[in-house]
Amino acid sequence: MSDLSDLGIFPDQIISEILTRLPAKSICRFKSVSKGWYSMISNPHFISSYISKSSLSWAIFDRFIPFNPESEPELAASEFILQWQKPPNVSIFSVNPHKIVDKSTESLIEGHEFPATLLASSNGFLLFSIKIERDPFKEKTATSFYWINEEDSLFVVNPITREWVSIPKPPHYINRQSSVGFITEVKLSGVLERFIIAEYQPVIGSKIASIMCFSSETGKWEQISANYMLGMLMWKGFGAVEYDGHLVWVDPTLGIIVWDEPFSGQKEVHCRFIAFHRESVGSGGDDRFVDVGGGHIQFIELSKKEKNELSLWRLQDYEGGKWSLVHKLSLMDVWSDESYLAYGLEKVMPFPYLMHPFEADIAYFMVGDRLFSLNFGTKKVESCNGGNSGLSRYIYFIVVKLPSFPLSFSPSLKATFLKEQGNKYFKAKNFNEALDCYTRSIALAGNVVAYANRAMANINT
Amino acid sequence: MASTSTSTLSRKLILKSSDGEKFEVDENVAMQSQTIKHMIEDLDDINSPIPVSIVTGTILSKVIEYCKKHATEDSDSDEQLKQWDKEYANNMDLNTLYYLLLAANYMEIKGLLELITQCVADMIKGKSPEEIRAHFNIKNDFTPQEEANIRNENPWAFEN
Repeated sequence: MSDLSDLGIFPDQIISEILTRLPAKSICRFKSVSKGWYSMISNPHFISSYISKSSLSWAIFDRFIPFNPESEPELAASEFILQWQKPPNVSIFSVNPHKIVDKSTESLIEGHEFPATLLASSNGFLLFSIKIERDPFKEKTATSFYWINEEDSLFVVNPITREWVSIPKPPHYINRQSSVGFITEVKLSGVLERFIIAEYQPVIGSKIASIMCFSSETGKWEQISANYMLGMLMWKGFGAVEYDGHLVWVDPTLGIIVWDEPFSGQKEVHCRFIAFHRESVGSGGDDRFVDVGGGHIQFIELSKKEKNELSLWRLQDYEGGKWSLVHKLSLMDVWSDESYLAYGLEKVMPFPYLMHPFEADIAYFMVGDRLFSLNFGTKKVESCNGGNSGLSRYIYFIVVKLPSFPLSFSPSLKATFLKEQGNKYFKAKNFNEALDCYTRSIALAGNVVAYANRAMANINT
Repeated sequence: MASTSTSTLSRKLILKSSDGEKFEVDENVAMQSQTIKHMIEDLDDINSPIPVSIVTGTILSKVIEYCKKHATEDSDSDEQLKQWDKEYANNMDLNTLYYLLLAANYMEIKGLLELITQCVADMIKGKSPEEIRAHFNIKNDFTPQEEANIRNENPWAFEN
């Protein structure tokens, strides 16, 4: 049956038609069929046409589960499994849980409740941190000594292909994990060109701030000078989001600070502060939840005053910094709606959990351990998960938009990380390892520094 | 009286397969093939057989069966038509399917091409690269080392 020798070989055009109808996983597997198939599948035109024909999906990513080495002795303690939650009403879902292994997590702090935290996601890539032990005496210098015995080790991971890079140690501590911004730039052909990790650190009472910024292009952390526009007002950063190529840091009580061009490479930048609408700032003490939903920066406000109102605000004018009130609902109306009653949800103040990445009017809330989506336009509960979901408002969670085609790190990006890794080994006088890193780096993208460093490593071996 | 209306509505065309078999079909049936459509635009005499040079009679009859079904509009709901398509494709053996694919591609019949490519895609999506090679009669031109490297680039794609 399979002997089609008299048929000759199919025209590439037909093969390509068939391939665009396959799941991404099959396509990547079929790269190893032949040279012809490999080059067809790796062709940027094929990938961009595949991406344009596919529909987007998303998932809630909520935790890491470290393996227990006692129950699974074949696995080291430094292995993690990623767990995904399928949000209610999202149909396409094809990511298997899998392990991530890294040597730098050997000094993992034992007994930590959440040893690994997902900090942010961008274009399907995840930024996560693992708490590792720190020896305060070892890092003591003449001018500084911090009595801190744990620190974050950061990783950028592609959860589908399991490619990852380890981010070098930041020169200063990350103040608030939750306000670390992460932004990636991806080519249409499915390649991650570059990314930036940045925390905004204001000097309260002054006009200055700095952005602690890691750029994949240099492979290094840098402190970028920025401005602080709130004077004596205390910036309590909580949350950072990516919006249309901009980085946005959030303080749920005051407003947002935006960095318009994180990829500009400038050493001195001017950030903008966009206060929440005056009307909404006045009602201090209310809970505000900021996120990007349906392609807009939005916030949900829960007014606890006598009215019990739930309102959705949208940054309609990003340049001008103007919020508009899009929907206002009375909680009483939500609670008494038949859709709310039908799911048997408790009539308590719902906790905003996330916004639908593609539908601006839909947000997800939690009541107890139940997650439900509320459409602000129709005032209806559209979907709800069952109880015992294991979800909790106290678990750090994140929305991940799943790319339809698995993205990969660009060779030059990988080369930069290998070169930096090589430097690390070189400093530690592990010349053979350093040599290996430099050689692999050069194989990916020839770089003068890598060549020179390799020569140095060669001299030393 | 019926004869006048049919003659204006649908002229007859004769399609000739690669092995010389002739099929008389309504013009609107044949016109679903962009290739034939372009051919008759250039022809003055549509009474002479139109050669469909790379398609055999067996396959051409299947193609015509599909085109006939899809030429008669409004008789079936979309749902029924989909069901018909499904049964049509399921009744083909693998060889026929592949020849149909080539025929649909050559004759530029978009709907049929989509139907068959989807059908083939569903068939092969779970297969291993070795099975694909056997399936499509492809020679493995990688060295074992090259093949191993590519597999290592995408280990996730080889898991269940």
